[in-house]
Order: sequence, then C-alpha cells, then structure tokens
Amino acid sequence: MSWKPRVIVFTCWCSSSGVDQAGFEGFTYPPNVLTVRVPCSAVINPSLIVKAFEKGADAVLVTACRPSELRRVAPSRVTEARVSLLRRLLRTIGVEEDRLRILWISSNEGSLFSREVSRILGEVERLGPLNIGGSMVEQG
Amino acid sequence: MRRVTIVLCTCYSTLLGEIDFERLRSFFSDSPLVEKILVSDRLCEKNVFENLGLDDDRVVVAACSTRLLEAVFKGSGGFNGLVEFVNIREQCAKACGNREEATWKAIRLVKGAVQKALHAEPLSTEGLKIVKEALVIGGGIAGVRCALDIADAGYRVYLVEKEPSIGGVMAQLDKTFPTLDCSICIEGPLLSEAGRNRNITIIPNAEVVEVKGVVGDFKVRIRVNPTYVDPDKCNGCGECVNVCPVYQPNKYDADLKPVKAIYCPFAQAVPLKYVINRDYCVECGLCMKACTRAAINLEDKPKTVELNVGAIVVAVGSDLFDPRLKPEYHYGEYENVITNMEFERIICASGPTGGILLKRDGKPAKRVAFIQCVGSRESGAGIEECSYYCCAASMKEARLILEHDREARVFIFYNELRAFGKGWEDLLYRRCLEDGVVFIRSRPSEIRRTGDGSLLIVYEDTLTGSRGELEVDMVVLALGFKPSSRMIELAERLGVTVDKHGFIEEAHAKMRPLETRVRGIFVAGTCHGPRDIVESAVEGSGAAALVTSLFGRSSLRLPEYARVSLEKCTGCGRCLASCEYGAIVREGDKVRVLESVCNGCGSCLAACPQEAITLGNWGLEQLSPMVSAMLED
Repeated sequence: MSWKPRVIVFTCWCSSSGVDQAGFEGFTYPPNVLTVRVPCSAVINPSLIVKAFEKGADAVLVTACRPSELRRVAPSRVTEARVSLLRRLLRTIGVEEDRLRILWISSNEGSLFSREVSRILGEVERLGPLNIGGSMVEQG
Repeated sequence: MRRVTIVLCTCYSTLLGEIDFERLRSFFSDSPLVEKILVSDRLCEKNVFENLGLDDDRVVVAACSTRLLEAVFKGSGGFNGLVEFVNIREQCAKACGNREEATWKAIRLVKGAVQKALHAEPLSTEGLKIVKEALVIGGGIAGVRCALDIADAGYRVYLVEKEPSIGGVMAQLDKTFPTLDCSICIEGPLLSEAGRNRNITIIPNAEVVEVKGVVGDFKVRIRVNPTYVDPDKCNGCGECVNVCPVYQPNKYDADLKPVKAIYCPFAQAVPLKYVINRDYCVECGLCMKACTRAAINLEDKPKTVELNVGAIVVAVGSDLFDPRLKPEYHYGEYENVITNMEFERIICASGPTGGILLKRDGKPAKRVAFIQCVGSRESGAGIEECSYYCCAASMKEARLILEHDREARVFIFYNELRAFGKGWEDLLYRRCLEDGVVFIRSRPSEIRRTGDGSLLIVYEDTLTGSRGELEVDMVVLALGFKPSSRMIELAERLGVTVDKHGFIEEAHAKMRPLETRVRGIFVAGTCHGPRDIVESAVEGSGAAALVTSLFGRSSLRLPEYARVSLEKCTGCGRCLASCEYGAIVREGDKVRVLESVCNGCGSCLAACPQEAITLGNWGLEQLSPMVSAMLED
C-alpha cells in the first residue's frame, strides 16, 4: 500500500456531531483520519498538537464552531489565535504551516467536513510524509 | 494495575458486515491492559449496560454516536468519568469505504480510548444540595406573576421590592393597551393574591446587597430600609395621615399629587402599611400620638435579612429615559411638556386632576401632541433599540383623550408606527385613524413656547419632505427604556452580565432567553430589554417554570467545570484572559473558578503554564497518551 497521510482531527462537541453527520449521510473519507472528541476546541493544548506531530501525524486538524455562531462568547476565537500562532512556530522548525488547520464545522455540516478533509489530505499528500527526526519538545 | 473492560456494540448486528468484530476482539484479547471484552448487540436499550455489572470498572464503550449514547448513559444515573466512548458507527463504519479499512480504524480508535480510560480519574457523582425556596427580585408584574406561579407549585418565595408596595409600573398606568381595561383593576387582584399567599413572603423597602453560592444553594443578604412604622403593628387605618401636617410629592403620582410625609403610596398597595419619608418628616410626633397601636418608631434603623435560596429570578424592571437629556424639548422648563408616565397619572380618574386632562394653569388641554422615540432608536443620549411599548402606549393614550373629550385634537409624531401585537392594529391603529388622530411621520426638531403660553412644535414631515409648525396645548413625550445604574450594580452583585445598553444579558438570546450566564439565576421583564405587560407576565411565568423544574429534580449536578490546584497555581493570570465566559476571578494571589459560570470549555487548561487547572478527564494527562496510542504502529 502506498503512503497515505495520517491525520489527527480534534473535534469539539458540536463539530463532532458534524463529523457524525458525514458518516450518517454516507460521505466517506480515508480511514487514517482519526478523530479525538473534546468538549470544546479551546481545551486543546498546543503541546498536544505538537505531540501528535511527534508521534507520527502528518497533519492535525481542529474542527470547531464558527466564532460568529457563538454570539458574544466564543472560545473558538481563542483556539483560532492559538492555532495561528502555532502554525508560525511550526514553520520555524520546518513543519509546513498547512499541516495544521482549523476548520469551522457546524453540527450539521457533514458534507463540508468530508469535502474539506479530502481536499486537505490531497494537499498533505503532495507535501509528503512529515519527517522531523525525533522529538521536537525534548530538543528544545 | 489499572485494566480496562471493552464493550463492543454491533448495533443490532448491523455493524457486523462493516467491521470485523472477531479481528477487533482478538486484537485486544491478549493485551495486558484489557480486563475483558464483552459484545452486545443493543447497548442503547434500557438497562442493558447496567446489567453488565461494570459499575466501578474502567470501561471503553465502542458503539454509535457518542452524542446519542452518552445521553443514554447520563440519563441512567451516575456518570463516574471512567467510561470512555468511541463512535465506531458514524465516525468509522459509515465513514470508511470498506470493511478492511473500517476494522483498521476501529482498532486505532479503541486503542486511543483504552489509554484515555486508563488515565482517567473518577469524577464525583455527588449531587448538589437544592434549597427549594426562591428569591424574586422586583415586585412589578413580571416578579409578581413569577412569585405566584412558584408559590402555587408549592415552594416558598421571597419577593423583594425596593418600594413600599409591590405593583411596579403597571400599578401607575391608567389603562392598558390594546383593550383599554383599567390597569390597577387587573393588577390589583394579583397583588392582593400575592400578599395573601402563604408561600410568599413580601419584603418591601428592601434591596439585595450580596449574593454568594451556587445554583441550588445561594446565600443572599438583603438590606431592609427603615420605614419608621412597624409593619407588624400597623393595620393601615390611616389615623396618622389625618394628623400629619407635612406634604411631599408622591412618586406614585409622578410627583403631581402631594401626599403627607407619612403615607401609603396608593390605595391598592400591598402590603397596606404606612411609611414615613424622613426627608420631609418634621418629627412633630403627632402621628405617634394618633397611632393607637404604637407602630411608629422614629428611631427605626436599617435591618439585614439573610436568605438561603436555590434559585433567583431578577425582575427589577428598567427606568425610563430622562427627557432632560434632550434640551430641544424643554422638559422641566415648559410645564406643559410632560412624560407619558405623567400623562398616565393625569388621565387616571384617581390621579391628581381626577382624570381631566388639564394644563398646569388648570385650563383643559384641547390640542395634544405625542412625540415618539424619545430616548430610543437614536445614537445620542438614549439607546439605539426600539422601546417596544410606546407606539401602542401613545395610541392608547390618544384614544383615552378622545374618550374623555370628543372635541380634542390629537397628533402623534412617529418614526415608524409599529402595531405588531395582538389587537394592536385593530383596536389601536385603525380606531385612532377612525377617531381622527393625525399621524405625522417626523422626529420634531424643537418645541418653542409662543407668546400666549401654548407650544409650537417645529418639525419636518419625512413623508412629504416639507417643514411644518404645529401649535398645541400639551406635548407628551413617549420615553424609551433606559436601564438604571442601580440595576447595573445589582447585576454586578449577582455576577450576571449586562449588554451595551445596561440590560441584563441572557445565557442565549434565543435558546435560553430567561436564563443568565449564572446557573440558577433567571431573568424576566424589562430588566433584560424593552417589553410590554403581556410579555413581562409571560416571562414571569416562564421563569417560574424554570425555577420549579429545577426544584423538582431529585438531584443536581453542575456540568464539569474547571478546578484550580492551589498548590500549583502561581497566580500568573493567563487563564483570566483565556476565559471567554469571565468565569475566573483573582482571589488573593491565586485564581478561583466561579463554578456556576464556568461552561467547561477548558480554554484555561490550555492557557495554564503550570498545568494547575483540571477539567474532568480532558487534561494532557489523558489526551496525550490517547493521541500517542492512536498513532503508534
């Protein structure tokens, strides 16, 4: 079997329903897209994302609620800020920014999820396997 | 050593064709981390999981959508945090192209969940205490309706009112729209019902000064201001009033009709007890001599009442815009420019003029103009919002004028006439047109006084673009709502948030419209935005339903909230900025999470450099081994 990117998807409670919806409506996506459900995207510690890369993920996606859908209180704004900062940091150690993405997925957007995942997988496939040679954290 | 039991569900055997359960089972059967593997075909059915006898075990459940299954589990009682769910249906079997792939993915997902379950810490399943007594703040129509509904459900209610009597704004109105029925005649019976109800304790002349605790168990401190008349002794006979030599303006009558310094605000007041306004009292002592029950005590001091309640309803209402902030209308300077609240008292049969619309010089007002949107729908001194009630109120008041005096001429200066409520179009707008009320689309630029003392309204008709001047005897300003600074202080004490205008903010404007961000604190009436009587009463009942449904629960658990380890916390404060809910506060040189406010998003966990904050089993300690296990070959 040829190389296929391995992807960790952190899904918040609500967007996890969106991911459910994808399967429910029969939108398939590759099996090496592995989901981790968390209560809210804001709980995702940037070091957890780094850990995923370190342990062999070729890409990490974070799916979260659109900040505009959360009215005035929007923890996913915090997530967005953290992810964009981490993308820049990753670039400095040679990890392409596009390997870390945040996706706004509502609880009924299954088709959007499967479409976006397939598109992102295509891009990551072109980037090839992530080779960071050992631990990023310990080296620091 | 910790071990995990795996429960696989075949979903009524429908997953057997999509996932190789034998391979899944054999993959984990030799693992030293796994205690045993059970297979069910209907885990979602009642008692199936319970009958597996896994109460204290660490369990991984691989079945359908976590959203569906977790609800079933939580519904069945205790949720100890040691059960981990994996969705092998929607996120695996249904999302993969073939059986081979789905089985491969299921193994990875379960591997991750096994690690998470192994690192999970048991969560407390202990329920919170629910004190089944409620506090309603504000005795207007929303608060009274709410208190009565809670009391009728069998629970004790404390109804705190800042004035000497409950009743609020509705008690001051002459008639209600659109049906023109007498306001106090329909509210009065409710007030006396509240006064008589054994489950309701009315605390008048009082305000909330401190609130502590969480949903189910709030500790509230209330200051009762001195009234100088012992309410337990006063029987409302009124002998004191007869002898009192001093007059003061009565707030109830919009300061238009004087009352004595010892007074009862209005005839239908509940409780019917007299109070003394010490700003006017000359301490002559005549009332003390007249009172046969020795109820009067000029040495009266403020008292403090401590309450322990399970829920709080905020129904404090809202103030109206101060028309002095619009100097072009000369309110307070031209005596025949009045507010709509003053109009309500003047047109009321029991009001200062006995219901005859008189100018201040005692002559009848024959030509009356209403100016709409004073302090609302503007970016100046008022608020941008429409104040909801005033189109209907002014049309009602126009009809009242014409009912009293068919010869009168009435003009309404409107911006958009909004007659959206039940009966408003028919009973207000059409009837006004039929009765000859003149509607002029304009926000007048100025009111001038002419030589003979009548008023000249200068305006531009925005339908025709023409400028005009209109001479009238009286101008009534339809005032918008404006939350008082007092209410904003109360909101701070309660820990609830206010919007940019100062109205209390709902937990969710659409889905949780009567809840605030603090669990157990509800809201009703105009304190969270402009409303009319009907909607205030509806919300009073709605808030009461939420309170009684809270009290009807056998146990109460807060959703998982963030907890701070005081040993690890260095007080750096990064979590404060990360919390979108404002649920973290400084306490000494550490921080504290307000558990009633925390929504359990976990943003603070990720922000804390000391890993001093935990939230259920969502820390790095659990998620890190989970992610590692899912990725390993």
